[in-house]
Amino acid sequence: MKSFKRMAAWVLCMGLLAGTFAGCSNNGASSVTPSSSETTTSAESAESSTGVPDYMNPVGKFPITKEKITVKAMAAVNSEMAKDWNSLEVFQKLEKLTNIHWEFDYVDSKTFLDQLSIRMAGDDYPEVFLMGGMSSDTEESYGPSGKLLDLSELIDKYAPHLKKIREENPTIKLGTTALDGKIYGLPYYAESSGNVPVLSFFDEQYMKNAGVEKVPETTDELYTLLEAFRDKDPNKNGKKDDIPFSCQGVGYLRTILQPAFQGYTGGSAAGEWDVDESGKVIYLPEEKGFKEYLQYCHKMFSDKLLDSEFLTQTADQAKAKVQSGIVGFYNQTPTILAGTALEKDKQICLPPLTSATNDKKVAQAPKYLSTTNGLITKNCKHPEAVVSWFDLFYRKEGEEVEGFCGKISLLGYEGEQWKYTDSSKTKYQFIDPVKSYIQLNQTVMITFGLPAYISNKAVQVGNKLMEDKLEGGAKNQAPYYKEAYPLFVRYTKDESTEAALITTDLDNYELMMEGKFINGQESLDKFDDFLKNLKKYRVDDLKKIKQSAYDRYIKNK
Amino acid sequence: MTIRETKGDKIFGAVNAFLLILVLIFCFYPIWFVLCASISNPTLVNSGKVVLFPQGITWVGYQSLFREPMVGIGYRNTIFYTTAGTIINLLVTLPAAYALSRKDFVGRNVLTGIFLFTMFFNGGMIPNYLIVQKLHMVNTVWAMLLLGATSMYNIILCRTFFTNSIPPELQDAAEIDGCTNFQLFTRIILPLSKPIIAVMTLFFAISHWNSYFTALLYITNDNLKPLQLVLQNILVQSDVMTQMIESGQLDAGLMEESMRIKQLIRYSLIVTASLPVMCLYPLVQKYFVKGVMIGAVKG
Amino acid sequence: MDKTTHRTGGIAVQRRSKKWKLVWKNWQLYLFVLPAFLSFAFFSYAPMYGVQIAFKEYNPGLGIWGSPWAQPWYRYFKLFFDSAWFTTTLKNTLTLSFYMFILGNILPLLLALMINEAKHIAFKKTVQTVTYMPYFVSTVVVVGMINLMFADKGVVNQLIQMFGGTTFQFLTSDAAFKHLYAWSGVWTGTGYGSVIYFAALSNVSPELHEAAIIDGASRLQRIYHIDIPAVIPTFVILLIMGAGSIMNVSYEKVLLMQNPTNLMVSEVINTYVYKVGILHTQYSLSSAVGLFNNIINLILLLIVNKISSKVGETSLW
Repeated sequence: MKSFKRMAAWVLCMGLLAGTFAGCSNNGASSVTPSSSETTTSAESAESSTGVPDYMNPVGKFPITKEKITVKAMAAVNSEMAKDWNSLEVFQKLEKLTNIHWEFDYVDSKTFLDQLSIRMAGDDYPEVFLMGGMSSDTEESYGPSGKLLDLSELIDKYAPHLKKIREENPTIKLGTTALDGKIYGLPYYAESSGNVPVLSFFDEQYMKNAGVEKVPETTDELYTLLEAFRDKDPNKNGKKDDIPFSCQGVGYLRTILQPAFQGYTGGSAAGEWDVDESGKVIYLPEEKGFKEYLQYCHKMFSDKLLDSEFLTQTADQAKAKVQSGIVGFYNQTPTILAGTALEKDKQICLPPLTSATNDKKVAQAPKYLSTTNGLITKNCKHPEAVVSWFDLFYRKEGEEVEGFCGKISLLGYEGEQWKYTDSSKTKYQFIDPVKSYIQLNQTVMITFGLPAYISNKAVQVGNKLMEDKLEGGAKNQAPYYKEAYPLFVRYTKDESTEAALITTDLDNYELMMEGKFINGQESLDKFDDFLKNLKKYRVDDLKKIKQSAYDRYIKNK
Repeated sequence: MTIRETKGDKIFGAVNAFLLILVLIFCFYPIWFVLCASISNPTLVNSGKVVLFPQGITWVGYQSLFREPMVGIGYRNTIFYTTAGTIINLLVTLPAAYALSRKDFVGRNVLTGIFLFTMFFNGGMIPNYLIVQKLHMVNTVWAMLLLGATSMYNIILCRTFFTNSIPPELQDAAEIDGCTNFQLFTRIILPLSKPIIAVMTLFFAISHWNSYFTALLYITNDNLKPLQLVLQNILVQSDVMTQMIESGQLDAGLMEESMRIKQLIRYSLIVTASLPVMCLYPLVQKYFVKGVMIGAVKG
Repeated sequence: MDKTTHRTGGIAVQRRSKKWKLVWKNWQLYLFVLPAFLSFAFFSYAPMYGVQIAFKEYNPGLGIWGSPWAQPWYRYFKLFFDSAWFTTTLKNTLTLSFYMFILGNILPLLLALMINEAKHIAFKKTVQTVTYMPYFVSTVVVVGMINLMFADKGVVNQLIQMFGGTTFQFLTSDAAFKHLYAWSGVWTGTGYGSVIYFAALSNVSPELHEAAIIDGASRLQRIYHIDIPAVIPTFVILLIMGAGSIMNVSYEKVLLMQNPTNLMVSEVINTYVYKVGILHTQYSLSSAVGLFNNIINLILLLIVNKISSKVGETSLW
């Protein structure tokens, strides 16, 4: 007993010692050190009669700054990119144009957020953060305490193109407005024809081999086609090994089939949360059509129309099946068929279906926006110039300066890396040796998410499978896009932990039951018990939180 | 004098050998699978077609791996970290364990308690980082060598060995001879501790060889990166790209070729990263020699 | 271990001065312990103030010291205990852990004893090396192999059909999950875990064995009376230390092995907390859960240690 007391005393001493030691060291870190960030801000710097600080030229005139300045940024990198961003064509041209030189501190994107939180724990953080998986979470963590600059006024004065885009596009405006009404994040918005969310494709030749002429438009017609795939050996190899419908996980069934029964896309787009016409937040399993959706999928499973391994196979396993030609409906992009026997066949995109419980054709809308791809911190010495620099990326086609606008950061320069192949500018093609915009990351530009506005309606030609995909997307999906519960709603600190806990609890249960209803481990007779249990998992509490978050969100319109 | 085996012993020996052969197959199959998969066509691997032999042989995985200049640097660094780090580990752990095994070491229980406490309570990433930063160890070799210089788990394993394998008479004899503790430890205890030193060398070396998270957090200088970090960088797609593929902005088909190579690399990575360490074991096995203790007391 | 008594002040003084004599005599031992002490002081104790996060409303913008205390201080613990999946995750964590605990303590010992009994040195060394190799296969690959082998049309089901059975859906079965988890862990960990026992067995003098053979002991008897006592201390210590990491079920492997249908048995505390933190990083909550895990670990260790010191000679202190 005595040795225990002594031990406790030792531990206490050690703890106190460590605490004081750490306390001293930490107080040192958090005390305010006079840094250069205190010297000039847009409010204090002397302004010339044109309204811009002395060191800058008027807005819209280049170079941006009279003398060359250097800006330090921490940037997220991966193995696909060039080692030195300043060696890229675009950065070199921009430096000449703007007189602004960037000094990059490269951090592996895997550890970027950790490094960010480490730097922000002290006072010596960089002027700018770029990419790396930052989100509204990052903004809300560091913005209100003042470590991030409020960009509202800066955008107003020095970024006319970004300002215009925010006004024109409610999604961007709402997504980038913080809870305290300020603006911290520089967004990345890419409305590219190539951006087609999850779809379902099938081989046209298979359909013909199975004896069906018309592309299905209702769930019943789909069922008939699936049965034909199962029985008629569409890949003509003499074996009855065809899997009519394969996918990886419940998510794809939610994307393709659930909307057919319910008329809402929130199943896969927002974890089963959506908003009805009156602005009320709804939870889809509680709405009309959900039971019918489960029944349909379960019937598919027991009739051997749905891949029996759909819940357990990895993405790689699912892909391998498709590439070996035994799958009817697949959910990967058709371009994975390159080099296989199906390469030459036309791949058709399944359009949104209707059913007995729903007659609205709806498709999941693509996610064009990433809210927080750039942050400017309190330590930034020349925030006005930096914001001006970023504004270049928010110029649209037709607003270029020296051939540069937002689109360049995805495709490269017109005439150099790509060109239109028709006069109506609906199709484009890369110029040899460039084959895709991924290669551009080595020589031309970082295409993976520097803050920018990119609008590329033209369709890429030259790759037949890609053309099938894009044509399918444009014809069979785009006309029916419907938004679900908005992705960029922000929660307050109080709401956030509770919402996260209830969401995890609820989703675990709902996902498990959905899987079990579909594969038959649970009988659909128990569906009403399932609905009752949702209440036990606090779905109503979560609905309330999501409703107030949503109301707050759209108020900013 | 030869020892004749009874029939019972012979049966025992046969059953034992048989069971061991089963264990051998059970343990070897996953290794064999990895070897096969590292040179097989990824689609065939994913279709479950690669079971006993490689299919669709391709060396692209290994080629891509060794084409990376960083791999050589990674190997060099890891060899250094492993060697130097293991030596430091041994120098810190063995003396401490011996001291804690001595019944006449005053404060032994208190210290054991203090050390043990650290296995359960950890301040988290940011406080850990700030301390390392204060000590000016960030982005230096010291972060790799000194962090985890010891662990209580290993100290306890060593201490158990010292307590149970070193006869206390040795200490008495040494005192009579006028040895200091230091001489006792270095001249008598250590030579008798070859088995535990061998085991600890193995454990520490493997731990250094596999070290990844420490490097991920503290090393940003390319020249200092250890092998595992380099290899994982080659392997893991950036989160931005994964996000972009999932949201539809980036077409997975464009990445198809590199994703196939990445799968191959995943397997060849295991082979190239582990081969050296797997070979380390046979080297230390010879220290597990029986009867090392026996001569000691009599002498 | 109590060195002082309260009988008479005189004897107490004597005992105390004897202790100081020991301290003086063994001063070098304190040097032996110094490097480890410094290492723990700097790298474990100095950062320990971070544990506060579990009791605070941690705000990264304000830092650890600047963040306000949670109202009440146990708020995040309560949120965790009140969550709908708490009992399930706790049960699953303990189930998987105890299963691995038993297998992971007994099998390496068994393997070491069996290898020790093998006659040919080459065979012995081969088995030792091969059984230790799976340790290096990464978790992702191990789970990938499980997915391939136990798939509906995988090798295992093919074997079953060859022997006349019907396909069993291993991967969606609640009952199979813990076995797949535990035995794949045996695959990777047993060989590596047996290494420490070789060191202990190396202390067994061959003369003892020779003497026993002359006395007519069978191999099993020799193992029981000679080898096992030699490894018992190591075994007990590993048992105690193992009790101290019961709550540490690695989230990576479980997450990879999870699918919607087996959640009821596969959701453990660490995967649950991971999911909660995905949308918005939950610093305080994950810190509280981590602290909870560690406290349970410590309590279990102390209990097992106490039992062990009562039952035998070996214990941590």
